Amino acid sequence: MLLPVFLQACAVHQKKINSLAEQLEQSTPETVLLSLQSDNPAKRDRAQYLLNTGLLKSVTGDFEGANRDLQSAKDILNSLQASSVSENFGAAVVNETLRSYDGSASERVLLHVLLSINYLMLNDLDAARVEVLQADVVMKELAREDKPIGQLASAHYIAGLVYELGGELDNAMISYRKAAKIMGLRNMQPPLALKNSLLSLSQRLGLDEEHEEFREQFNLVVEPPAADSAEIIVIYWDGVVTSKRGETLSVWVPSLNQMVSLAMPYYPRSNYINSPLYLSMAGQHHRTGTVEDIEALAREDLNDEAAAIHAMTLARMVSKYALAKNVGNQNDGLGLLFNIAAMLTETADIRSWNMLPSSIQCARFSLPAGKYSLPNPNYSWSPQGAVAETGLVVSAGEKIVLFVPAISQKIFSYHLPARAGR
Amino acid sequence: MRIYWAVILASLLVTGCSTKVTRMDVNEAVDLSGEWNDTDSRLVAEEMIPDALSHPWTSNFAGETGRAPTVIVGTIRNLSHEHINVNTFVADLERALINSGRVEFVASSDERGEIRAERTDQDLNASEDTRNEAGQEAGADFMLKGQINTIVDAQDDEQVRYYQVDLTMISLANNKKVWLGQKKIKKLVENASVRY
Repeated sequence: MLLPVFLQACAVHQKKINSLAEQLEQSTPETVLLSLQSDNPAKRDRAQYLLNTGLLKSVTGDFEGANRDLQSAKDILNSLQASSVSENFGAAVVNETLRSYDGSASERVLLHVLLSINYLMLNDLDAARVEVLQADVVMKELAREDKPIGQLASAHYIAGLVYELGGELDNAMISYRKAAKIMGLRNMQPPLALKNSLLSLSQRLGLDEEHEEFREQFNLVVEPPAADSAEIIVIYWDGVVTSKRGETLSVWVPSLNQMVSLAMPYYPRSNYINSPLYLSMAGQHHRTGTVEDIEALAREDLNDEAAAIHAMTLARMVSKYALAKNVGNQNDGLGLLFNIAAMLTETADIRSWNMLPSSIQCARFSLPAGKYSLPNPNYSWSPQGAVAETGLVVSAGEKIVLFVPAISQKIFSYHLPARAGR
Repeated sequence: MRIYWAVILASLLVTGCSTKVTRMDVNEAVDLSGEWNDTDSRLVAEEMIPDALSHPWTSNFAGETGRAPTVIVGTIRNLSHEHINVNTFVADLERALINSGRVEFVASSDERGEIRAERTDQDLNASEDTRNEAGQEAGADFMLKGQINTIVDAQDDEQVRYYQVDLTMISLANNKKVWLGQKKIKKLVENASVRY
């Protein structure tokens, strides 16, 4: 009888994690990180905990700490790819939360995306490239013919960027193409930054026919950056992804001749309003465009698993009710207790990497060499008021990657000097 | 008697929960994850050192100048799928080449900053007879550069990992490549499909 109490405590704990994620838009990531770190997660929830602490450390600028957590999370997720006998048994007789948290398909890829950004911000291009290659292996493992599950345009876009920064233009072109293709599969328009990259790289690589096709398709012409300017690439993380909720569905089971309650996870309707980052610099106005809609990805992953979760939950509940009925036939009181235990132990698995942004956006433009104060991003919901301006020194020929997570209202940068970059 | 059994049971439980450490021979190969490990690093160094010394670039240089060539370690890029610490086998390579007596090494660009700072400090604080002057550094004749590449082919629970380590010795006088070393490692990694 202690098991239901223990499982209820786990459910409360998960609701607390969801509540912390929701606080991110009213509080600061530093405060949420402290609250999260005061928590002692169960071993099976360790990966979720590390993904969230790693992300919060990234957005606050502790990239080394973030990478330690995210690499540990990666090790756990990799070790959990094998199917567990004991956890399957636990899920079959009690509930899904007894499985170790192994992340959704998109989360497994986004982990590498975040790590590559972190390594870039640590000025370690080769390590960022390692993560890009690992993301590619994971995406190949997840690839299916029917749906683009686990195929992320943002992962390919970051890969293209990392290859381009390393001077591997042919690899960069392949990655940008893949990013555009995946966006097409999800009926999304490539952002201007991706269109510009495809146009300029196809031109630089002498792919004239393809360049012409892109020019017609995008109705765009790109000019090479002026000799006295730098290229700025902005990676903007907007919002906080919605957390999963649990709901109870009642299903009529003819074999039991009664209604059975199923606890299922679901995503509520998203309140996220896509807000681009506006940057006005050197008399030019730029805005970011969405390369990844994580709200949609989260729902796509859950929908893909929904049939299996539903089948497992139904089978489990039918067994629980049948057992309670059999026990009840011999002893009314014990049958009632079994029924109560069956209901109390039934809880939906609402775990997710719920501190991810709602969308990943990007922008790309050139900027004349000089000193700039990065304007405050337009955080209309900001609880912290105006954001301190960030100084940016731009040298001719440089490539600068700016990482702007909306929840921390901080701007981080990676500079690739001219000689190495071109 | 009951206490006796309780103590035994408690001891067994405590033993079961404690960390176990087994000391191993450093040359013993243990592959846990299938990723690049100390054995790969050692194998690469062991294969590349004799190769580097068996080629005529050292003797050619000594014949021309009357002294052993001075080498500096440049960038060894990790272009693989894994975060690899390339410093371990570069250090093995460096040690073996120096110990052979046929090559001298100078500090790398990362190391030089600290040494120069110390020399500047000596200028101010060390006695004249123990002070080392600036401008007396040995210039390198060759630079060792290289990269590690991988190809990973994955299907279900199996992965084939192919590593290729390429090292190049380049003359700083004329940019000629005087030695190319290559080591390949191929592994089949079969991940468990079921765990307890």
